[in-house]
Amino acid sequence: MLEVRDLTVTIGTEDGAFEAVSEVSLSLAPGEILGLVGESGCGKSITSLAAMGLLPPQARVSRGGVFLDGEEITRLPPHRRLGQGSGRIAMIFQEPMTSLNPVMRVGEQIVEAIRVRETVSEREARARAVELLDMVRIPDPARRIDNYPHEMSGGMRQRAMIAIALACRPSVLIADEPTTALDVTVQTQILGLIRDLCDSLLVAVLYITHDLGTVAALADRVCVMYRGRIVERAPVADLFRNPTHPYTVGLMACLPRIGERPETLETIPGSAPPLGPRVSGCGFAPRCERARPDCRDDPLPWFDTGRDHVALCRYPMVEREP
Amino acid sequence: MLTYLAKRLAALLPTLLIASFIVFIFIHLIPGDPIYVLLGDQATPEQVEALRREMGLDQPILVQYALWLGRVVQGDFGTSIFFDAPVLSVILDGAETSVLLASITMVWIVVFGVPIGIISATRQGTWVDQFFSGGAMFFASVPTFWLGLYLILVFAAGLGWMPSSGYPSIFEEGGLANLRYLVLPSLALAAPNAALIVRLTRASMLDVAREDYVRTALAKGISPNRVVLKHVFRNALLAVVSAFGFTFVALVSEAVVTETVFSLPGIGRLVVQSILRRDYPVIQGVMLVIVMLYLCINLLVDLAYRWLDPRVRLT
Repeated sequence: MLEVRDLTVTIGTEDGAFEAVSEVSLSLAPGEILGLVGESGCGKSITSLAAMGLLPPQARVSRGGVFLDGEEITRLPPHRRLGQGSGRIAMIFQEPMTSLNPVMRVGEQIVEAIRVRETVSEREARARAVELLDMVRIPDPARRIDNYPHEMSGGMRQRAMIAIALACRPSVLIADEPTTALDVTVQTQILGLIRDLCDSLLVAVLYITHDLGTVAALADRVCVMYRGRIVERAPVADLFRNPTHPYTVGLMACLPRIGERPETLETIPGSAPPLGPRVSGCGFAPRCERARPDCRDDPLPWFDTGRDHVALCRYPMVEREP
Repeated sequence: MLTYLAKRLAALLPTLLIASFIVFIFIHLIPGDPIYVLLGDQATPEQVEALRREMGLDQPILVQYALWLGRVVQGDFGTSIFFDAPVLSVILDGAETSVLLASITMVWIVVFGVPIGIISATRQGTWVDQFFSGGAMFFASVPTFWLGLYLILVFAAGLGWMPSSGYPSIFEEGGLANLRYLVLPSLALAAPNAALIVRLTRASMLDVAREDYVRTALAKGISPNRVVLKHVFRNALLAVVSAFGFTFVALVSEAVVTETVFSLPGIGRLVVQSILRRDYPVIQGVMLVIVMLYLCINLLVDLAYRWLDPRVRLT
């Protein structure tokens, strides 16, 4: 399925070229949801755009690559990927309000996505668009298909976005914070929808978010990113039971718990650094309470807990007694 | 849609009323007296008084306005002081030239402005873009009369491809071939406006290209060229269409210069000459026609907007 190997993305800025993503590797299996978690600017969105072939012009993949069913597609933009057989990647974006063309009917936008890949008549495509809207649980799809985006609510638009993504019968779906802009109740519905589609269509989902709560509810496995690197990778239950990288531990401590009313909300000291020259050793060391001088030395070792759970850390938080 | 149109048309009336009042008052504020223009310096005070009374110019200005408005409503724009002919026929004489000049100019603006803007935007930063953007900057800055004179110098006087001045009606001898008299004037008039449309189209295309829905379209696997036409251009057009209203205003004012440079018997020249002659009825008539045209063009722009942008249809 989708495999990202040692992906390194360089972004050119006025102050020079910096690595926004460094040696990121991840892989997805059918019917699996992989959560990619991190703060804003950690490189998770760049990773997803690179996988999609939609990097902005000032960014480029300098090392590593993206593979779909064993075939390298790193440098192919989406319209050059049409011939890739069953290997189809679709993406849904963060802002349902601005991700749909305001002057086209929703139906047209779905039909367009269908007809890019399949030679079907306008009528067949339209019938399929109605099916897709029904599949994403939009009520009265035969009527809604002629709506313009501004005639729909935020949640409805995000469903329409998912319908567009499903139009190409994807094997991989990348979701970049698709619920961030939505009400909490709508969020839950969209998350449920993504889970169901993943299970029924056996789509592999790369779910990008900064929200650990969403990950806990949705994902099968999790990758935690910090400063362009994956720092921890684990099955979701084990990650929450035994967070191993100090950064992950810090993130979890920041989650307020229902029923407790702490004096102050927990934070990680310092702030996530902006894009800049690569530092040697661990990127989190400046904010890490456990850091020692040798944390600045390359290369960092992967600490393996032996439960399919690894962390990029020299002094990991070792498992507490059960 | 029809109720909207009816509402908009009804809203034109008060605007026209206010505009006509302002036009009337302002024209009478210009120093100078049409009576002396007509009778010359040697006229006796009695002659002047008599003519003034005959033309109704001795009445208070508000009374003059009311009388004039009453006649205009009935379709009577008065009689030209200078030509001693109905104002309407004086305007219609110049209308053929001006309408044809404006139409051909608009064709140039659309044919050159919009596609060059699109090409510039899609090749942003390349030498093609720099060439067209530089050219647009040049033509936007060049005064119409200068460009007109150079066009005459090169294409009429030098190469002899086009006539240099005047315009015989297409209904006279020569027929449609007489349109060649309007080629150079329309190019001179189109250049600065087309240049603005180039810049606006380019800027608007680049703006839209950054929108999330363009990324969505690319993610679908649609080829970039098709995305530009179907998604970017359609949305960028909204800004360009609204600019056509302003372009019309620019055409009216610049046509005065162009018609003078090319000696065209159009409305622009008529206005200038009528102001010099203090031919009040003609100036008032022309101004009213221009205001009406302007309101109609703006209405058309709004209608086009509603057609292009479904979000506007709600209001």
